[in-house]
Amino acid sequence: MPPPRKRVGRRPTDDNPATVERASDQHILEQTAETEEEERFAELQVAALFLVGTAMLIFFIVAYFAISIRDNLGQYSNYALGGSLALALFAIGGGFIVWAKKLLPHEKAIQDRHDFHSPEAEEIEAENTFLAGVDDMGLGKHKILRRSLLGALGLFPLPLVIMLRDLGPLPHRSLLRTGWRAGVRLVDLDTRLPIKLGTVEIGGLVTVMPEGFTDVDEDALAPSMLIRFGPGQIMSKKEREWGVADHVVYSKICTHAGCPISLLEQQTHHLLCPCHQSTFDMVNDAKVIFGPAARPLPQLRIGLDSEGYFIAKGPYSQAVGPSFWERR
Amino acid sequence: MTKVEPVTPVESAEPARAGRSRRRRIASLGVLVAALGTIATLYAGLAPAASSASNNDPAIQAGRQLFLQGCSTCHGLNAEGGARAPSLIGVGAAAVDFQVGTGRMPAQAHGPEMPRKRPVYDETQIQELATYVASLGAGPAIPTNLDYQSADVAYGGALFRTNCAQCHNFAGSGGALTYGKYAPSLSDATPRQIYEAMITGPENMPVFGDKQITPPEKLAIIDYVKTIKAEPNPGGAGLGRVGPVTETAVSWLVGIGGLVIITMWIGSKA
Repeated sequence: MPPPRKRVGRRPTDDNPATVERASDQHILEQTAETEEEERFAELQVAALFLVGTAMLIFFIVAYFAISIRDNLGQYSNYALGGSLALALFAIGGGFIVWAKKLLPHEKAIQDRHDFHSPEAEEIEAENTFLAGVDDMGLGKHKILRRSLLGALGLFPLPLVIMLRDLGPLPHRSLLRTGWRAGVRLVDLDTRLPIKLGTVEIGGLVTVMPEGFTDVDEDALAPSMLIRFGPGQIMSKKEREWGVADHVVYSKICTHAGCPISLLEQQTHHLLCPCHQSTFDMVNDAKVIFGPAARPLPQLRIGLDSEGYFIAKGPYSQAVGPSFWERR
Repeated sequence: MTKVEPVTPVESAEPARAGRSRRRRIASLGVLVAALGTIATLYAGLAPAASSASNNDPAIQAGRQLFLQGCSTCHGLNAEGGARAPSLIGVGAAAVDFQVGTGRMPAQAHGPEMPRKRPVYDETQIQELATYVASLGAGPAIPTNLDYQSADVAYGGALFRTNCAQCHNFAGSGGALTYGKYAPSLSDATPRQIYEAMITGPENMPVFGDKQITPPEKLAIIDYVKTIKAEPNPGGAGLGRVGPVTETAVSWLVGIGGLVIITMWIGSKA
């Protein structure tokens, strides 16, 4: 056996376990119930808990057959079964714990902690075996082995990187497009009927979609709110001009995280997003007045067609919904 | 009476002149009396006839008395509104029936939201108040057809989720708005009150007029609200049915907190 050259993974040991004085383990027995009376009382407590457990188990079995699962969607059956089983387990477990704490003799054991390492001779042996193995591989000698191994290990992360491609495909322009085009009518999301001037009362709000939409999920950026304010309530000139007779249309998709919003406060004209409390001032170009949203809700320019129905005068002039890098 | 004059054209003596002028004075007095009488008759017959419907109707009078006692401090002696409260001209009977019927009005204190409380007035008084306010200007009337049980509850649910759920929660449990305002729970609201809230838009609620959400659609929404309220909670306590937030809070605080306390008791020295 060659002499050890260096130490690998071994603690410096000055204390030879053989020379450390082992503290002898101490055992102390303690009586828990001190008097006969106390012991009797503890016994009764445990027995009572076990009895409760038994009663609850019997109740469970009876309830299983007695209570119909068809009444009230099974509410009473669920209550009875779940409640009795929980109480049974709680009582039986409690009985065991009281038994252990009050009746069983308590044994205190004091045991010192010791180092758990192998005798030094074994450690030296293992260390030498490892170092000899490294020598035997001869990485310094077989250059081809070393290089091919480096190649294989070097390529190993690549499959993981390539799989990132599955995060795509890139959305390209789909984030900028909605179903809104010039001339398309506004229809109610639920009734799918076009909306005439005068349908919405002052202080009213309708969720609208472009006419001919198939499913909200197919055009998830299109949902918009048609809001009618009172005369003179809209503060912004641009907002008035983009609307028709105090009616304005804004995107319903929050510019922060894309939640659908329409918590319109009729008197304050605040629109609140329930997800993160972004608040928009709807008579002032939907300016953000509170919360994490970074930009106002986009407004849709609307007009009336020859029959008096609301139409969009064009697509949204900017991307709706949450911000993204390429957003203009 | 003026026809009398042409009948006596050729009298030139003094006494005759004096008699004629006396007769003229009597005649003009008669015209005046007749004209005044006609105007008085017309006034008594026509003008009060138009106003008697609003002034002499006992319900309106009673409502006005109640209004002056209970509401005019904030809403003004003629319901014209003021710095503390809006004008009630044109809000309609439905708004009064909702606000007073849910106990929100008369308000106990100014605040961001008027809470629902036990109504101060009884049903008759509320009707009188509503009649008085309705007489001030045209507005939504108290709905009468509330037969919601035959409505399409599934469609009502779809309408509720589009138009109501964002504020009132999907189960009608209510939710928070900005700066202390909130959308109230719908569990105590009667069908009539739900209907009235939709057509009048109380406080910060938007108005959902009958052309936007038709009366049958409104009944469907009411049917949905009443149906989910009657729905049992098969899994245990509903916890206000406000979603995963309360459920998580209860399982962490009560559930895990209870386990920690029990564990500490088990591990403690006897």
